[in-house]
Amino acid sequence: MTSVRSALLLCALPLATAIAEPTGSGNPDAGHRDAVIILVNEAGNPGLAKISFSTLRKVFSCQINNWRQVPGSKRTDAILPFRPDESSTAMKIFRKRIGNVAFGPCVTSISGPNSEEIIASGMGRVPPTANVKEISQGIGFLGWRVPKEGSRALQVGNDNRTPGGPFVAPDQAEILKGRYPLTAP
Amino acid sequence: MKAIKLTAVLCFLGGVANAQPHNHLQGSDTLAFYTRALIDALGLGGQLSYAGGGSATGIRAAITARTDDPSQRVNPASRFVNDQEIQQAMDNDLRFVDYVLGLDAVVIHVNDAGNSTLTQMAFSDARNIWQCQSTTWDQVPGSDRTDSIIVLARDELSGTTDNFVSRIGGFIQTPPDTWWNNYPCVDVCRGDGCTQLIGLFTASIGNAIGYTGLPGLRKGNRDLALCNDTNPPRDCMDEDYIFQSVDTIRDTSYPLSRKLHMYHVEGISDSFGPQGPQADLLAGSMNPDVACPILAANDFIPVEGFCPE
Repeated sequence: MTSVRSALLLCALPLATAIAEPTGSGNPDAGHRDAVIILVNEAGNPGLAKISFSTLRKVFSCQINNWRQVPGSKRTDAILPFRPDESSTAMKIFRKRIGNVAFGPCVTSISGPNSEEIIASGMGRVPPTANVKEISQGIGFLGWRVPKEGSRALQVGNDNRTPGGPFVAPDQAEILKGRYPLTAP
Repeated sequence: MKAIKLTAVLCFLGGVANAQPHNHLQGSDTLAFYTRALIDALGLGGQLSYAGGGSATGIRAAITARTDDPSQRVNPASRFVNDQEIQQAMDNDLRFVDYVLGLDAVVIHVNDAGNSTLTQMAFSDARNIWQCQSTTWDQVPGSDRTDSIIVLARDELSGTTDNFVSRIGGFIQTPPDTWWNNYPCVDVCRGDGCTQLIGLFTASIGNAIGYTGLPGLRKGNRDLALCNDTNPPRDCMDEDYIFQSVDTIRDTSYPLSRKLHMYHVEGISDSFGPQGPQADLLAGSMNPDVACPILAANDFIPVEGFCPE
């Protein structure tokens, strides 16, 4: 309930917020267990609710580059993947959990102290402009946080083994239990 | 038998000389959406794709066009080819031919509501921010904020960055491809989603500042009037600060106005040059019927007289 209340409060913040200091992958609400969330633009990808490890690996290695190749998405245009700073905890968790990811040239990377916050904003609600189409194609990963208004955190399924695991949402309880597949080891 | 062998060798050499052009073009990320739209409009999607990567990557690919197979002979760039790159091409018996496909400007933008009193900036103030000497807004003349500055930049291979730092001046640009590491306060974006991402971030976050081409401007952020107080050194008066506009970009009075280029390489001693779909792409950028709607959709400014006003 606390996390739901926090989420509602964060969603109610005005669009132009200030960031006092860099945010990382820390997850105090989830008992200090770090986790990675996969964000897409809510309006841009209304049908997409979940994604598997194998699809994530293909997206971020650029083996697939069109949304029609992503199960569940109704888009048919190019994917615009985003990743955070190489030294971030999110990158370490992503590599460790997904395994064998060679990031390809289609991936836009952000390096620096605010890389995850920048991606979180990029996947969120876009002010109405003619350029709205480009960012709605995005998918990005970053350390756990309450998604910004207009973005959606996907359920993730670990299909590295057979049979594949279930798709699990990055909820506080699932992260604490370690059931969410992109939880830190 | 000898004749057959000779024919085979000639056919092979001819095949190399006329190798199908590169399917995956590299070049300016600023021009990524423009170039992809041009490819689509010309029906070349089955033969060409555009990977971006920064102006420098496209220029490097064109320099080695003679030896790459397939080769890239056309390269969209948001900056001029420099003297070193011209020499490298000449060493390969190639020269760059410039076609200015449109005009653009590097714009410095801040959050509209979050930085409402900040309307102008001198080059020296920009330099202090991107070199991490000014880290809070109270160190920036004109801003009424007092909190930390979140600073965004395009990467080292970007033509937009080249335009920005070469005119602002004073940046340590070694090692060549990672020199932003000298300025640890800066968040650096690499890839063709950067213009949109940086624009969106300054539109959303009150204490952010970034630079992009014109397509980075959107509702929620605002570009600043600029004054070059660096070359030559001078004090800027209010009337010296200039906003970007069609007129100030065309007459280059806006200090960060720039040209956008569709370069191609051609042989100095032979007829080497763009062929097939790459030649079609080059021709398409010169065709007002094809290029003008795409320039407009990307917020780029046509060269005077190219498009109907």
